[in-house]
Amino acid sequence: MTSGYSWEHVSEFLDAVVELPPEERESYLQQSCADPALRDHIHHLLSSFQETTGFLEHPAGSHAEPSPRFCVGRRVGAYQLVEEIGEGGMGVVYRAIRSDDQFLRTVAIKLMKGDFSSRFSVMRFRVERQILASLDHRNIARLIDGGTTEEGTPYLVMELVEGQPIDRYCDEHRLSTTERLRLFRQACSAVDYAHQHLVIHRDLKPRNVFVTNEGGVKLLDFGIAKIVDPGAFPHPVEPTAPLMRLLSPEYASPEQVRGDQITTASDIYSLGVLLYELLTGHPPCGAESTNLSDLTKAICHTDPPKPSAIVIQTSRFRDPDGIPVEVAPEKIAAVRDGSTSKLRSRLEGDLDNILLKALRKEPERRYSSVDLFSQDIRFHLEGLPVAARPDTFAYRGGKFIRRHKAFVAASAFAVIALLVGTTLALREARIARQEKAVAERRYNDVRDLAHSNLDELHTAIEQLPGSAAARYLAIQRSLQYLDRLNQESHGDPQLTREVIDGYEKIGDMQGAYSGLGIGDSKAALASYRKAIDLQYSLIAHSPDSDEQQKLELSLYRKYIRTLLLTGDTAEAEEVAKHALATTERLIARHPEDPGMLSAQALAHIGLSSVMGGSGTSCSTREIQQAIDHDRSAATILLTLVKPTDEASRAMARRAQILLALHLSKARQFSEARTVLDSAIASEREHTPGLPTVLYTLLNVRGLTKERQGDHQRALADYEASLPLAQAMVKGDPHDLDAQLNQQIALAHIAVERARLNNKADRLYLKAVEDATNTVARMFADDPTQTFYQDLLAIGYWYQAEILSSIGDHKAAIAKLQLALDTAETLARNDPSDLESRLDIAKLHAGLAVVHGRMGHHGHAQREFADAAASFQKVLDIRPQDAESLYYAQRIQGYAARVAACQDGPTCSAANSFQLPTLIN
Amino acid sequence: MVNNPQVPSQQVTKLLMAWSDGDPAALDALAPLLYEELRRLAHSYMRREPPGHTLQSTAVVHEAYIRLVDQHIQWNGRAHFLATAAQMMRRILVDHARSRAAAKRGSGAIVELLEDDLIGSDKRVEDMLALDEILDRLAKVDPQRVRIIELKFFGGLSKEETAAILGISPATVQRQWSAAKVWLHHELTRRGKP
Repeated sequence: MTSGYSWEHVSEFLDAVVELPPEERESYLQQSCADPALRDHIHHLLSSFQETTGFLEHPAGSHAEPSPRFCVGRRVGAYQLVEEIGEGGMGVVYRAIRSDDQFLRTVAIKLMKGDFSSRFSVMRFRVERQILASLDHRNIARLIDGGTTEEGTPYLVMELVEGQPIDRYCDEHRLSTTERLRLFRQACSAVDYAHQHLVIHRDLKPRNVFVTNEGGVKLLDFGIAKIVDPGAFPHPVEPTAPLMRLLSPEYASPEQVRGDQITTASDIYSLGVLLYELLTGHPPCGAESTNLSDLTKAICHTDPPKPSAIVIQTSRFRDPDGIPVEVAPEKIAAVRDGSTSKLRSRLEGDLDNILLKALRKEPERRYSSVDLFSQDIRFHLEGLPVAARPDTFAYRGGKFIRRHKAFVAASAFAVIALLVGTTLALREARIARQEKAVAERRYNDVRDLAHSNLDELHTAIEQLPGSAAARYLAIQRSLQYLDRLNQESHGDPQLTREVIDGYEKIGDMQGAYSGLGIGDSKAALASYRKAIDLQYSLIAHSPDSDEQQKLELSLYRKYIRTLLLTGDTAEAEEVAKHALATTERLIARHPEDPGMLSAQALAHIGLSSVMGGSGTSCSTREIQQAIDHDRSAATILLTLVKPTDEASRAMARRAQILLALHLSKARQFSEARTVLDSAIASEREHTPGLPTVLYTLLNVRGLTKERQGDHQRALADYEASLPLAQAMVKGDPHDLDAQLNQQIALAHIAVERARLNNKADRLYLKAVEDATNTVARMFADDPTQTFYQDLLAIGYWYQAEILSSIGDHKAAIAKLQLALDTAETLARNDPSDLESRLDIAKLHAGLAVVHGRMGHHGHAQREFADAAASFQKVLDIRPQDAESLYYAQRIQGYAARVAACQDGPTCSAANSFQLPTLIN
Repeated sequence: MVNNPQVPSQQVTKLLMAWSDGDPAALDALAPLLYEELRRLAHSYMRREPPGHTLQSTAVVHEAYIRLVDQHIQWNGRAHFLATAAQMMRRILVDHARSRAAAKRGSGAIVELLEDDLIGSDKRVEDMLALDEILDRLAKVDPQRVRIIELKFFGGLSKEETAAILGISPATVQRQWSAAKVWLHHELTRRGKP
């Protein structure tokens, strides 16, 4: 109905009557409004509004009509309701029985409650049914049946779980920590199973983890669970969960609370909260919170206290009804391990670390799967080393990278790139470019394949948030798909190439490239192996196809790298040899082809990397082989240098750097210097040149001279490298690696000056401290980069040197001890890691020297003895190891002089000892 | 790709306090931070909503407050924060509705949903645009009424908070809000009719 009445006309009257009861409206309007048409209009407005409910009300505000309570005794499907036993997120649960001729069986029936005219709630209930139907695990409450009542209320018939929530069960039965851990692992098994079936629970808390009277765990209430793969179920329903309506905020992960994407890592967090409470009786976060906003902040920003630390405090929290509760530490311990001190020492160490790891704020820093979480608990129970580490020294087992610390010290960025054959070096190589083009073309082809989801899957995987767990699940799907595609390809070359490409990509994601961590390297190897085997079959069918053989090489490089990461050096060597042989075959057919020659050089480098750092069976003979390969690579690459092509020159330099580093490691210093001298001279002829490369060259030459003991000239090289580092920082102020390089250069300069002056002062110390702090920060930001850890150790070593030079021996010892602790932990975890043993030996020697300077001859002798023993351990395995031989001899000399010294604390002999160089 | 721009809450709190102390420049500095946070939150809410569901801007605004403000600031500050956020939410929703409507017109057919569908169905898009237009017109004759609507509907402020911001009594707020709803309902429904 159109009306000529605008707001100005109506507002005054509307304001006046809107809150009046209807009877009074009429009389008021009669009195105050002269215009009958206007009066009618206002009536019309009000009455048409009344017919509508919920206009401009927030959907959040509207509350559902209370549902009709189902009566006890009524029939639902083939069952009869007996009693109400509980209320979950969206449904009320009843005990019911089925009695007919054949069965007398008790079940649980969950009926939807609330406003079930809302299509979303209904769909959510339906999804829960689908989820439960797909899960079949002894620790998950089983779905028996489902349906809809006459009124249209959906219901689920489930296995009846008689028991208690896990926290109450544990307390009532006074289970010890070990028993609680065992019980918890059952819950993990259930959640892991759910994850494998692409279901995230999202509401894990004690009330949903029941323990039956027989002592078995049952997971309940997948009411707000979510299916990871939206393609798997027809109507994915994502329930509204604004902050206020989170069902169990105390158990919610930071990302849930923030509203970010939720992944399996969130379940892992919730499991962590659950375990934390089971073991300590305290909630990890927000115990003090009185309101939701405080709790939220606590979850997102406050680190939980160590379990071993918190059990001695009184526990204050709110029970499910919101009533504040206080429990004394003695009571907490009484239902667990007996006494507070027993409980505390039980939790100290491994369990502290395991719990805190599961509770990390960043999803990608937690356990990447429930299985790994449960496995770590198992390791703990069996007395094996656990994977969880305290925050600052997270060990991820980057064994291969650790073995080349000198490379790291030289140039954190450029040399690592060379060594592991990633990115920079490869992309510049012509072959890599070709491969990339082909891969892109093939990828486009894949979209045309009849049943290809491959592309979508891969894109989807790449777009997933950083959570490793989410990627893991997506990868599982991809693998299934590829395996199927593989079977159906029937040897078709085109299709087979797609599959090879797919496996390679998946291997990339599973392995070190994705940062998932060492846990998945085995899976990556399996995927690469599948790809390689398929390659072989392709080549077998068409042996003359060069293209295929060229393409093989990048796959091999990744395979080798991953093998080295898992310590499988024997196979890595074999594969590297095979790669080299392949390139030589190719060259035989295409001599002088630059592409082939580059490939050959890279294959030499690959083999050299394997040999220059192999573990248990390394001897000087192997490092000589590495040097031979380096020489071959450098020679080839130098011939390929073209004056206008900077990339080719960069490649050659990198090979020369590697050669020099290996020579240096074998203490063949003069040859190393020759190589570097020629490279530097040649590089300086070019302008503008490659600053990163030149910087690295100078740095490495400085290192070589430093190790030789030629400190004056080492200093000169470091000083020459500094302006280059500074230019890099200026070029890109946000580049952390450039900043780090600059600080490293300054630190080197400081240390050399300190050594030369013999009277260092604290200025030099500051330079080294700055560098060390930067590294510590970068390491904290990305603990998967274990080479930062090595840089840290070097930083501490340098600080110790300077401190001891200024006379602050105690501080020096503290720094050396820090480095020693790390080295010992690493050596303990990996008995085949000889580099750590070398470090330990040198650190003991360092400690000995400093003790000697303090006049503590007894300590000094003991440290020398430890050092000698450690060097001997290395020599037992590597009889020709140049460094061990060299230092072991010097130590003998020092030890003898200390023993002979009669002067006590003012022993002049001790003051003349030089610390060995840690970098090697 | 920036996943989570971290809005430093200390910065926001400082600005808020500066603004409640009477520094208008603080609001200028605050606005873009706040806007971005709201937008991000709104989208993240929508990711979790089923299609067709209306965004609950109140929840977004309240959540933004909790997340951005670091400590318990004075009551005055909170209300002003929510008020500003409410106005921004209106802009966010309207802008989004406009772009959806434009996309639809452009292709002449129902296009694939834009990545984050803040406003669900087409009907809701129209409603949002219509509401915006009505409010703009209303603002010319009764700006205070529009403020009440923004604060209550987009911001979810209580009548006490709204009253304090506008300097009127809560009872007045209540009455005027009810009246506004009646009238808006009429205006929106009659648009569909010839």
